[in-house]
Amino acid sequence: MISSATFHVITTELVVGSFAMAGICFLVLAIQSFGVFESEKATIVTDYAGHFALGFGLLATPFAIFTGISSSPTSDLSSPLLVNKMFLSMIATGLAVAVLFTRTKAGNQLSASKPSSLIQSAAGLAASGFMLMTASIGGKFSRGESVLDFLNLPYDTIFLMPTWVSAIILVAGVLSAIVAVINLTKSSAIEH
Amino acid sequence: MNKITIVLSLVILLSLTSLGGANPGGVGDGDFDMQCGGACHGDASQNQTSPALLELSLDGDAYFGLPVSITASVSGIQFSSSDAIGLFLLTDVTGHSDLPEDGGWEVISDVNGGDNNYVEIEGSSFDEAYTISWTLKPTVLESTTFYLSIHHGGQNTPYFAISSGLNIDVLPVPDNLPRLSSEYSPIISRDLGQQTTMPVFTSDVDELAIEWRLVDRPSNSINATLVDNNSWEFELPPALQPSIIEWRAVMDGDGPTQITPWFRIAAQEPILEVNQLQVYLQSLAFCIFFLTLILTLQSRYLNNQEDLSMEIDHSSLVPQQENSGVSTPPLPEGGLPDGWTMEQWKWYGHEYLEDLK
Repeated sequence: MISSATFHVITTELVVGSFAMAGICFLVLAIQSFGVFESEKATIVTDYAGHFALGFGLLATPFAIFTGISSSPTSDLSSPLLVNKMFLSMIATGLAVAVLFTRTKAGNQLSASKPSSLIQSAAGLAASGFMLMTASIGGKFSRGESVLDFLNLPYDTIFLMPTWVSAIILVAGVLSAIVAVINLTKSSAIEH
Repeated sequence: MNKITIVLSLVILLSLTSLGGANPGGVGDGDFDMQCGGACHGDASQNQTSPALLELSLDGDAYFGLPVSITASVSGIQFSSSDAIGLFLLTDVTGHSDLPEDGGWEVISDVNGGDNNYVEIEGSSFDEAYTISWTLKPTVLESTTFYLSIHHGGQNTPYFAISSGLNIDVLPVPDNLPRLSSEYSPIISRDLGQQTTMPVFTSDVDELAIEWRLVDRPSNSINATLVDNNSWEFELPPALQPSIIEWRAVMDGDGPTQITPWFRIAAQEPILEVNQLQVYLQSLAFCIFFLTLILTLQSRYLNNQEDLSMEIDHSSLVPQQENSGVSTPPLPEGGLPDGWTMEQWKWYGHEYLEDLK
């Protein structure tokens, strides 16, 4: 039987690999958005590869989170590092879901609008960055060192809001998301 | 030319990775089988045989249900750049079901203050020898063969070795032997700054003295206080920084004086006590917040683009409207005058209406 720790290693490797790939693609898209260079072929390849890698990483993310929690020493969030891992991975998940949803609904409209394509690239890059930071904390937790140590990030400090604040943000966020989804669906339904 | 450069760059980058050294910095202590599920060295088939000399020895006799120390001696290691050495205490060499628990032994404490069969230690020199020990308790009355396995790196290569077996016969406990209670498990960890009252449960013990020391420091002796029948306790000073204190009990009674193995208690940062629901709710709130932020921005900019394109479309219609001329005047009561076509009425109808006035 595979232990949670081993399964966590497998799933995190899938997540980190996919998000890293997506990050590179979104970086290329972002550079192209600024007009540093233009290549229709590169745009098409990085657009498809980036979104596919992001989607694949997103599929593996829940498994990585659940196995990570169950393989922690007390099977819960008993360390500031683990709490920060949870926060960062969920932020990355939210960004990745938004990026994929927008791409699905808006399609090629995204590339026609410079602000939209910039937001899409930035959100994709941020999702990759947050997920790589999550992986970095994992290394810090298990081995006491990580590749991002030189940044001296405050992994030992947690920003914890009162439950009622989280609940308000959650409800307001869900309502706003519904409005945004309706608007996106409307705009994507208009024929050109 | 560009394609060749890209392919060469990729090949060079791939060549720089160490396929064998999956975790050159180690994986942390834990309960691991001999090949640790492939997690330590990535692929066990790439292991080279380590030149390390490995030896296991038993300190004293092993009695059923009583703690005993197994000492491992290691020398002649070739270090990796990180100088991490992984050592396994195993009861089998098949690579599975080889933990001490599988052989009927319970690990009470290891050299790093945990209770794992796999520990990682830091090395500092090519030819330095290392001696570490595990304190274990047999839970079955039968013989067990122990092995010491080592994983380490060196010259960008993963190394592996395993010692010859150490056969240990578990003996029944003699009558009147001063001893720890067979159900006793010492505390192995505590928070920093915490004064620790350590309970000790014994059998056939009249006097109990405690020796404690910081690792590699001189030991101190104190007498344990009898709390109840066969129940004792003693105080350990608080630790101000992460550290390990070793202690052992000297037990006097009707039988011969007995000394327990060294137990270890590790002082560490306090475990975070936080409302789990609060953390999960906040995580979800963060997720939804960032999701909404991106969706809202995108919907705004995409709708602006839509409005803009519609405005452009309208403006393009303006000249068309101008070209199409004036609007068609209303028809008189009798309808279109005789001999007029609708096209003529559209352009000259207003003059006809003016003449009528």
